[in-house]
Amino acid sequence: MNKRSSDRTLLVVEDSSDDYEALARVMKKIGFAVPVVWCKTGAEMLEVLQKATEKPGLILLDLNIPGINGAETLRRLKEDSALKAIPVIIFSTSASARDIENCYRLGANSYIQKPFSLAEITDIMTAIKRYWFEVAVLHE
Amino acid sequence: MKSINVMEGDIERFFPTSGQDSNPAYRGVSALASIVIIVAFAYVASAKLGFTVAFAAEQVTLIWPPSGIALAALLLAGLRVWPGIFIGAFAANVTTHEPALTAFGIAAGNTLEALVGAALLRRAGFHNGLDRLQDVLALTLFSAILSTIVSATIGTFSLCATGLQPWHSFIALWRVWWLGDAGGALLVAPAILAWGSGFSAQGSAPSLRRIVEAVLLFAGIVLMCAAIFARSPDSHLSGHSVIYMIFPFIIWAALRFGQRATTIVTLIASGIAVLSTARGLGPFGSDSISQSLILLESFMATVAVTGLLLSAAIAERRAAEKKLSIYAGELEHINRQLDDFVHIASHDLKEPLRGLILQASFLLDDLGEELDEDARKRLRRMIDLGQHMGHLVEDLLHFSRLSREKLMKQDINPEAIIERIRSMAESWLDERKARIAVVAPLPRLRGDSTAMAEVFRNLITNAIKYNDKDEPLIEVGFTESLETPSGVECNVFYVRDNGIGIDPQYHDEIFHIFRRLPDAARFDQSGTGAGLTFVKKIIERNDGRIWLESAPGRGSVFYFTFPSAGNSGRQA
Repeated sequence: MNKRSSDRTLLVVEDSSDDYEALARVMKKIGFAVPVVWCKTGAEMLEVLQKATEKPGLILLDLNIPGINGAETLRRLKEDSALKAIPVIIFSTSASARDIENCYRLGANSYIQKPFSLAEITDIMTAIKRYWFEVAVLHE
Repeated sequence: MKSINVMEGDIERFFPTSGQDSNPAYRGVSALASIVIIVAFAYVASAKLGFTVAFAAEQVTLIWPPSGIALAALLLAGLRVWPGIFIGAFAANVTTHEPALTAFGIAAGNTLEALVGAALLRRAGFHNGLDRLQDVLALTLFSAILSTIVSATIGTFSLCATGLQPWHSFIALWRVWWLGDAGGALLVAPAILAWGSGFSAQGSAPSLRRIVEAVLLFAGIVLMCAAIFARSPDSHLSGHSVIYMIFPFIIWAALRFGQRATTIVTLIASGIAVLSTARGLGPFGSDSISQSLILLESFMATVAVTGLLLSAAIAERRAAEKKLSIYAGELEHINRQLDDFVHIASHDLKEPLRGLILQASFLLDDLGEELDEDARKRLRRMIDLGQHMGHLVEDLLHFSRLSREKLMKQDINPEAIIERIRSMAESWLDERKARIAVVAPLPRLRGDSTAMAEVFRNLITNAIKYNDKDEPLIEVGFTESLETPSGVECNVFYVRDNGIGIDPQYHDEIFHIFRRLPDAARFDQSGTGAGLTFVKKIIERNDGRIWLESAPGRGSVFYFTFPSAGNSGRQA
């Protein structure tokens, strides 16, 4: 059975309150109607995923998070056969080629560098909404 | 006066005025007593050996090893072991048919000589390992030349005053005495000092090759000395000049084995020379006693000092090399720490900076309607400045990455790189009516292709950005050799433009991070002034050099060398 992501939730792993507020404002502004689950740590994310009956349609994952870092969280997620199909976009301040390469190697589906302006965050979230929650069709 | 104080202190330690009963002090005294006894025995034994080659009088010998043993004992074990020397000297002399008074005088002279020599050397900051030139020079001057005067004077006086020798031979006896003691200080003391102190030229266990070389060296010196000295004076080999055949062995020992081996080789050579000469053999055997003595002594002194100086010079060089490599290591470590610091600092700066920008954006979002135009402008300015700072921090991070990260060794095709730049910036190039001409062929290179692409991209975009012509024209080319004011450069790439040109006074400054030309903002508002710094860093990490020819209104040519362009051949 094929399922559009719009039926599902967006999971955001982000501990910065500034980024949280920025994303929340932007989502409201662009009419992002998808339910959003917020996690502050990788451990919290893995716990939420274990309990959830429905897997989220997309995970937005920061690298610089407390406890187990973003890369390690990504690795555990992509090694879990029940979870590895969930698409993950890394959303990080790091522009280091090493970080980017490492994330792709661990199975990230995309890597977006956190921009310095609200306008750019708006552009990014608009693009995510259009593709991942209106166009993309996921296979079970 | 300091040396006297040292002696008094040492005497006090030997005869402690307090705490005599306590166990540690008692143990200290018994340990000292055993050293004193060992020194006394060594003194007597070497004195008996010295007497076997006695020359002018029974008590005045050609070479006096005890003076070297006494000096080395005081330097290694401390001035407080002097009683051992006195006991040894007295015992050695009193058993050679001389009155106790004479023996007492001679023993006092010998002890004082060693004490004066050791005290002077200590004052001069002497290293027992003789690992510096100054140590060898101090030993020669203070011990061999100066302190020996004490013993020669007191000893000869004791012999004459007690009637054992006539006063008219005072000068002759004094001279032989002095030479013998000097020989002891220069030949015997260094060997004991070099072997007795911690100094070692060799760090690890010797290899078989080294052992074989050492055996050859010692066999060589023994055979050579035997050939020179242990034959009759009328032999055709006994001219004085043959003695210089000793030097190659001394130099060999000094260059290859260091101070310890040199002292032993010198000791072997002088031992054979002295024993042979005392038996009337060798090149000095036919001369009169006093003449042969002076010749032999001066020759042995020359051999000893040459060997010691040479190996000290080599030890100094080794020490300097070691120091240098330690400094180089430290410098590298500090550099790495600095790089790490830049990386961590700029990484950690980014997060709060984004917070500031976002908070200002929220404010503008929420209150935008209520604020007047001036307040809105100020908020926008805050956001712009924050974003500019964000770009500076990004550039700083990128620069630190360029310094830290390992460069790849890839096959690079510069023409393909330029083609990619052209296709990626196509719309911008069309908009600017810019044209990039490649003067083919460009050579293929070995290096980091991402970094190389960054070099070309920065140079080409600068050439288009800072250009006031309607149709910017960029030419990229390569030449195998180029004449510059500072000489001929090989394997030079160049990027030429018809842009605004750069005043020569800024030709250095433009490569510094975040430095921009005064009117740069007119052409590019958002630039940070880091691009050429990246370019320079990449080129220098590839052992290349970058420079330019430019003047306002006459365009610019950026030249850079890429050493691995030389051996990679040209593209077909």
